[in-house]
Amino acid sequence: MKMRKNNLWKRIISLSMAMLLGGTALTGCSGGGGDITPQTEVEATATQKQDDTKEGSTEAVVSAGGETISILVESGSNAELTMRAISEQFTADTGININIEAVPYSGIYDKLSAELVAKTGIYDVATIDIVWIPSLYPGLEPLDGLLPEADLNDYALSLLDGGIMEDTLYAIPAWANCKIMYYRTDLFNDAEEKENFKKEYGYELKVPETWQEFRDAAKFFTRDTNGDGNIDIYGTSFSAMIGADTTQSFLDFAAQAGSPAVMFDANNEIMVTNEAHKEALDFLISLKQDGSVPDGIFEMGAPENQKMFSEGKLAMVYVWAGMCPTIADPEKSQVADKFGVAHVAAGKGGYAATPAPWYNVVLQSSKNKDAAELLVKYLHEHNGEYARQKGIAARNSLLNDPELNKPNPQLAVMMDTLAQPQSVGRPKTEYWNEVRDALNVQIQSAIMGEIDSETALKNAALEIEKIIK
Amino acid sequence: MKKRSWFSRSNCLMLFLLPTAVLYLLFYVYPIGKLFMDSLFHYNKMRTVRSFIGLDNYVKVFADTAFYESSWITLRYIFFCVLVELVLGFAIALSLNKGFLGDKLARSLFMTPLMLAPVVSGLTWKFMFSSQFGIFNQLLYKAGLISSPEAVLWLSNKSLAFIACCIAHIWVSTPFFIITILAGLKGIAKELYEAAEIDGANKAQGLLYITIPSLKPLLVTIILLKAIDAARGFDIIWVLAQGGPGTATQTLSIYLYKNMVTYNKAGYSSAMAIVFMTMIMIVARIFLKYLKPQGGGQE
Repeated sequence: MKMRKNNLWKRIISLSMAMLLGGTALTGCSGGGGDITPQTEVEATATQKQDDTKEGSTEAVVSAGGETISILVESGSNAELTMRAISEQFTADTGININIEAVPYSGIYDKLSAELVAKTGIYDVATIDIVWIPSLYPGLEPLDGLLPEADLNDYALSLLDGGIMEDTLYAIPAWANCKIMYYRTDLFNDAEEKENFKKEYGYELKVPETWQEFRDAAKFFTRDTNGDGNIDIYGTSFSAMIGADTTQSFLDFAAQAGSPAVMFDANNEIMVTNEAHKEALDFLISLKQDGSVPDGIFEMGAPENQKMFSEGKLAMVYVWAGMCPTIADPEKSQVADKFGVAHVAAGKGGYAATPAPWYNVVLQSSKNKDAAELLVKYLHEHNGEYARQKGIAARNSLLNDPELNKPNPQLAVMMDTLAQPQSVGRPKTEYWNEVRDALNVQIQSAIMGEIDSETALKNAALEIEKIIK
Repeated sequence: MKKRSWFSRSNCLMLFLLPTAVLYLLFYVYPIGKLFMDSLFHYNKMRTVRSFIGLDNYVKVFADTAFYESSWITLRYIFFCVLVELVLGFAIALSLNKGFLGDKLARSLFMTPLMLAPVVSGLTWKFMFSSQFGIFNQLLYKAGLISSPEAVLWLSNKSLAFIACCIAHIWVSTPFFIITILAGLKGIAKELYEAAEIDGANKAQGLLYITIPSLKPLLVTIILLKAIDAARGFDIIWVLAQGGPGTATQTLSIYLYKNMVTYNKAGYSSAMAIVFMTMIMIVARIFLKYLKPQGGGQE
C-alpha cells in the first residue's frame, strides 16, 4: 500500500514537472513575430556595439505616458545625429517618445525589407537612400496631403520626384547630397609646389577642372615625404569596396564623360557599354596604374577615403558634401584648417555627379501611423537641423540661405553640381541592389587588371540585362 | 482484472517527450516545411503576390554558376578552417594536458575568443587587417617581414581576403577544439600509457596508437560539428569582406543571404537553402557512416 502511494506521488510530481517544462517552453515561444534574419541578429549586435561607442545608446526611451515610435537610421549619419539632437524637443512638443535604431548603411535596407515583409511594427519611420524607394514603396505609407502645397514647393522638383512612385508621394526629402572635391589648400597654394608642377607638366598648378588636370595633380602629389621608401601621401583615392559606394562613384564619372543616362535608361536600354562608361572605367584604371591611389582601395568606401583625407594622407578626394563638417572639425581632422572644396573635374560631358538624396518614410506596418507622420512632418519643419549637423539640407529656402551657406561652403558647390544638366540620376529600379553588385564586381575586376574595361562592361551589361528583363 | 492507470509508464514517457516534440515541430519541422513550400513559388519583392512555379527555382539553382562558385569557396573554407583548427586545437590541448608553468592562465586566455560575439571578433579583425590603419601590417613592417605597411593587402587581394576570413574564423573556433579535446584527453586511462611504456613504446607511438584511437569518436563528432559551423559561417565573412573582393569570399551563406534579404528573391533563395541543407546532410551522413567507430571508445 505504502509503495503504491509512493509511486503515485512520483508520477504526479513527474507529470507536474513535464507540464511546467512544456508551459515554460511555450511561453518562451510567444511574443514578437516575423522571421529574424541572420542580418537582423548580426546588425543588432553591431548596432549596439557601435552605439555604445558613440554618444548615447539605442535603448528605448522610457515613455512618460505618451506613445513611443521607432525610427531606423544609418549609424553615424546625418539622420542619426539629427534625430539625437531633436528627439528631446520633439518629445517635449508632442508627448511622443522616440526610439532611435542606428545600423550601418548595408543593414538599413536589409532590416527594412525584412520588416516590410514580416510587418511586426518594430519600426515606424525610416530615413532611406533614394535608390531603395522603388523596391520598398509597396510597404510604405503614402504621404500625399501630409504637407501643404507651399511647403512641397520648397523642394526642387527633381528631389521631390525621387520620392514619387506611380504618381504618389511616399517619401519626404531629408537632404540633398552628391560627391564634391576636397583638396589640400596647403599643397595647391604652395609656391614651391606650383613651380615644380609647372616644370614637370608645363602648366600652372590649380584645382583640377578637367580629368587630365586631375590625373596630373594626383600623380604629382603621390610621394614619399620622409624618405623611408613608403608612400606617405597619395594624390587621391576612390571607392572600390564591395557593398560600398563603388558603383555610385563610377556612375559619377560616367555622367562626367557625357553618358545621357547611367547604367540603363528609363526604357531599360543598357548604357554601361557606351563610350562614356568605358571612358569612366578607363580613367579609374589609369589612376590605379599611375599609382596615384592606395593599393588598398578595394577595402575602402567613402568613410575610409574621408578618414584618409582627414589624416592628411590624400591631396584630393571625391567624397560626400555632407562629410564637410567632419573634415572641418579640428577634433576629427588634421586638415581642418587647410582644405578647400570645389566641384568635381569635368569629363567630356562637363562636371557632374549623380544625386544622392535621402528621404524620410513611414512604414505601412507602423502601429502608430499618426505619430510617425507627425515625426516626418516635424523633420520637414526642422530640416535646418540636418544642415546644422552635416551642412546639407533639402529645402530650397535653407539651401539658398546666405546665413547657412557662409559656414558651409560645400552647399554652393553641391547645388551648382546638381544643377548641371549632366548630373543625371541613377536608374529608378526595384533591382538596384542586384545591378549595383553586378556592376561592382566587374568594376573591381577591371581596376585589379584581371580583365579589360570593355570586357568588364560587357559582362556587367549581360548580368544587368538578365536582372532587369 | 487490474485496471490500467492513466499514469502508466508509457503515458508518462510520452508526457516527458511532449515539450521536446512541440519544440521540434515549432523550430525544426515547421520552418523547413515553410522553406520548402516557399521554394515552389515565385514571390514579388514584398511577398504579397506569389505564383506557383513548381521546381523551377531548383532548376535555376543548378543552372546558376554563382551557386557552384560559392559552393566551391565554401568547401575550401571548411577544409582549410577545420584542418587548421584541428591541428592547432590538438597541439594546444596536448600541451595543456601535459601541464607547464602558467598553464591555467594560458587555458583562460585560449578561451577568450569564445566569450566574444562573432560580429565583434569580425570587426576587431577587420580593423587589424586594414592596409591603412591595421596593426597587423604595422607589426609585420616593424619586424622587417614586409617592405611597407601596405605591402600585404589582407582585404583588398582576393586570395588574402579568403585567408583573412579563415584566420578570423580559426581564431574564434579553435578554443572549442581545445576544450573538447582536453576533456577527452583527461578521460584516457593513464595505465594504457604506462603499459605501452613498459612494452617499449615511445611518445610518438603513444600518441599514434593510444591517444588518437581513444579520441577518435570525439574527434569525428567535433570535426563534423565545426565543419557544419564553418559551412554556415556568415557573421565574420560579412563583417570582414561582404563576400568580396569580387566574389572571393562569397560562401553559400553569404550568397544565400544576399539573394534572400538584399535582393528579396524569397523563392529562389529558399530553394538554394533546401539544396544547401541537403548537401550538408548527405556529407554528414557519409562522414558518420564511414568514419565514426561503431560502439566503444570515448564520447
